[in-house]
Amino acid sequence: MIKLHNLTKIYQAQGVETRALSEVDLTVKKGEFVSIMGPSGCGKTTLLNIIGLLDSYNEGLFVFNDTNVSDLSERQKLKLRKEKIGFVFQNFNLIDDLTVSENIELPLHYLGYAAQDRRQRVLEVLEMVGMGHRRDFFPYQLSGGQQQKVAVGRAIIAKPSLILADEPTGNLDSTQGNEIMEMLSRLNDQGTTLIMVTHSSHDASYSQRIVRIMDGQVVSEKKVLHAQF
Amino acid sequence: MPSSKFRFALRSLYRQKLYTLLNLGGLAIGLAVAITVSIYLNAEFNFDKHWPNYENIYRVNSSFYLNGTEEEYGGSGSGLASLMKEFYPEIEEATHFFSFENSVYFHSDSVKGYENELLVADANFFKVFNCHFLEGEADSSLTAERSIVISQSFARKYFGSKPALGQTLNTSNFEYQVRGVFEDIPDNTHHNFNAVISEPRVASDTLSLAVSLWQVSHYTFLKVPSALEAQNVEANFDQFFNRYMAGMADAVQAEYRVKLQQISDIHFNTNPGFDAIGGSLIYVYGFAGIGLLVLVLAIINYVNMATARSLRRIREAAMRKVLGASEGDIQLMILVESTILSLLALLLAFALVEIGTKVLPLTNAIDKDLQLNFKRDAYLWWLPLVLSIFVGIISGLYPALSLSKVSPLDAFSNKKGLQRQNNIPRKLLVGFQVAVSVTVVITAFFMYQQMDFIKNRNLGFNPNDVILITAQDTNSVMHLQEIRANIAQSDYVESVAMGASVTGRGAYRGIFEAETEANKGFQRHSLDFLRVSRDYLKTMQIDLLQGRSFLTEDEQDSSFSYAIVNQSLVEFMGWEQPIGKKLNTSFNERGEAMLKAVVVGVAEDFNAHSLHTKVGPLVLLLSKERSRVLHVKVDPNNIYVALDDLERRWTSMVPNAPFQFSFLSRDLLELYTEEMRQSRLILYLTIIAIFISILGFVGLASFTTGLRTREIGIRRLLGAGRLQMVNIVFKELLWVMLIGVLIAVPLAIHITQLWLANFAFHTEIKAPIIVGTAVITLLIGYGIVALHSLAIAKNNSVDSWRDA
Repeated sequence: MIKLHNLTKIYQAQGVETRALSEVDLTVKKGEFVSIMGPSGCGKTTLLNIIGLLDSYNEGLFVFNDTNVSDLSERQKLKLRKEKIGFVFQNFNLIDDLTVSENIELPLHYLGYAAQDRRQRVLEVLEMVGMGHRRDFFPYQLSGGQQQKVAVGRAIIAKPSLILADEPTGNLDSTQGNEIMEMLSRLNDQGTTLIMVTHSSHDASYSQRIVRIMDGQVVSEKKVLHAQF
Repeated sequence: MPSSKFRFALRSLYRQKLYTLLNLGGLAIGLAVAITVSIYLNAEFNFDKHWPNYENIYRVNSSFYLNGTEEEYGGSGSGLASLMKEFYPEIEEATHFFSFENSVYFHSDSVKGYENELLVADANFFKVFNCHFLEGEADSSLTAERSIVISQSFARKYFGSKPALGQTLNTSNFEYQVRGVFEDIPDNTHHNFNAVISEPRVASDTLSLAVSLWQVSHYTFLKVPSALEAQNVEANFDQFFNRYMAGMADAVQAEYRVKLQQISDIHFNTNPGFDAIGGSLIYVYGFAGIGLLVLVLAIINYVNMATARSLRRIREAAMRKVLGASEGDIQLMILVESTILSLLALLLAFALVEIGTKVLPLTNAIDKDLQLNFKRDAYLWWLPLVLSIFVGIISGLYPALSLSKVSPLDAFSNKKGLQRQNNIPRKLLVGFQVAVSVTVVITAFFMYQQMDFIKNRNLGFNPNDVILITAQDTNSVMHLQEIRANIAQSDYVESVAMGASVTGRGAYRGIFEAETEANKGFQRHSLDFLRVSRDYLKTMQIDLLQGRSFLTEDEQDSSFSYAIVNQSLVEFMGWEQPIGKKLNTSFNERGEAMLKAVVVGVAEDFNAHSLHTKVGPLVLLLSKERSRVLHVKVDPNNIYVALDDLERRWTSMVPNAPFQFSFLSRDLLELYTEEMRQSRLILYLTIIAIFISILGFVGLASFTTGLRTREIGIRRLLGAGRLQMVNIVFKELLWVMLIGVLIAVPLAIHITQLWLANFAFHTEIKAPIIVGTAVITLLIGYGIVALHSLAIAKNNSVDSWRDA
């Protein structure tokens, strides 16, 4: 599904070059759950942004679903992103003025769904993430775990084939964190590809493979043994 | 989607109540001011355009030429209308009228009251002025003597809901028959009237009509088929002049011409002599300018605050982009929201106008009838509508463009607002606001000071404690001498004098022959004069410089007349020995002076006219004829007791005439009603401008401090004192305010000078006031910044730098 080869990202600020990513090779197959780990500033989030078609790269090859991303226009990238990719953030990024169901519904607006279809789909997703009883609440009325459930709901409403999660449990306590991780791995079981950036090896243990990055380079890849399941 | 957008917009407004109140309120006030000013302007620029065929109605203005100088009057002689109609076949209709200077006491069976705006007109009046008659026949309504035609509200006041036609109305002298009722005419009528009385029928031959042409006593109006005929009448006036006026012209060595003025043109172009009070283009443009400024202030403010607020939505915009929103989606969202907001402000503005014109005494304050009438003035809804949509788009434009360009990557960062460098245009706008507010405040201050100056100025006479008693009817005029003698006996009266008019409110003008110093015979001049009785100088406390006052013997002397002249006249004539000089006036058709006077005294100059006019040469003629106005100087400690006594004495002499009095000092203030109205209006607009500017500054201060929340937190952590932090933020805003003040000061001085130039006597522009205003402005700015910074500093500083 995703193939990166020799991918390099350089930031230039006031004449100083910083190599955020340096000749990264990475392949993610359809249905895989991959964790990306590494110290702060190693380039994890940059990598996630490039995979999410939010950021550009300077050199190398990036193939998404058999399409070379460098051949795509901005418009095509936008279309690909809204149809195929869902995002989950550490700080939830819900819109304060919208209710739970409106936040979840938002991607469907931009995909041009009819009102009837939107309502139907929102009800389904509310059930899936267990937030049906809070549908008319505003984000500030919810706990962190509840907000992240809403964010997951928003990420999956358009049935994306890929979900990108950036430290999804970083602002949550362990109980809430586990709930979110369970939810994500259920999605993965149902066939959604998942790439997650995390500091937590506990969270990483939910995935099938852990990619470690240091100073913009992939330093190791290892399979996770699911002995406990 | 539109309905949900509307819902979202309202919801976000509700959540930010203070912001909504300040921002919507500010724009609404600005729009309300603009709407009100536009109603006012519309009325001003459409004076007398409500008359059917107003393009064909002309007033005949008079120009007299004497010694090569021209004197212009809005009025003309009583014979002009009928003679011109007879002479020029192209004139369709002609009418003349005059208006009562004072209010008249009326009573019906059950109601009594004083009425203003009364005209006395000939029978053709309603043929030129097509009023809509509700009762009676327009054409025949003024043919009979002692007829009165009244307005609908006049009729309601005296007769209630009963028909007024055929009823009688009484004044102290006469009984009038109501011959018609017309629909009330709009306020924007130059010669406004509530009732028209038929003029007394006087049999007059052509000769007496011709003599009357030299005396300005009436307003003459003509109805002609088109402007061309009006030009012809004016161009061919020579023939009329030769036929009716040439003989007399030779005798008095004067010329006479007419100028035809279209009725809708009169309001802003009134005549210096004999005219109703008109409008002033300078003032009207002034109001338009201030109204526009307030609107621009409000719009700038609104755009500023809306922009500042929208830019806090960077994360939201970024997130929407991550979720698939295109640039267009974001732009549309912001524009729809801002337009909804501005439309809400418009609704609020209409409500404010309604409240302002119906509930608050705004209409009284500016003495104009302002009404929000969408049916009559369609522009009142579509113009503001277009404007607020425009404001909505303008205020949404910058946020829409900048937010749509936000990178979706910002969803991952912790940015909360835009960076500091984008702040400059906003600062400039706020600088502009400061400039406008300071200008308005300084200008308003000097306007107030000038009004104060007028109230307290030494006029050359003392109007305080002088009660004016005006004889309204012929009976009391006939007995005025006896009444004066009676009143003079009162213990509370210090002195009484008669006059033909109210002192300080203008003088008559006439042709005089004045004796020259070195026996070079007489010179003819057009001079101001007042007819007064003895004790006039004493009553008015006017200083005598030379000679003597009028004596009782002077009044009884039937062979000669006596005059006192002012100092300016002595200088004007170059008299070295003014006492004993001869003054002749009141010429007959053969050019012979009917009144010959000798100068017995010289008085100090005093303001016989309003302070708009410089003091010029003036003659006080001792009048042996009947006068109308008693000037009574009373004991200042017993004014009200004195009034009671005066009324008792008046009623004992003329029981049927109403006792009508006024205070001279208050009457004189009426000369400045236009200026008072302006300064009141300026006061309101000043308050509004200050309010809006403070809003704008609060917006900028909160924006600036908001951007520096993190910095403030860190500095606080490192031990900065509160005052130091306020100073850091204030330094950034100080130059904005300074530039505003620097622009404002010369502008304010210039505007103030323009305004003060309307007065021949005026106050000075004082530097301390300007400096004071500037300092207070800076202090207010400092206060606002302090409140904001301290509020941030009071919050837990750890939060502010960690999360900012």
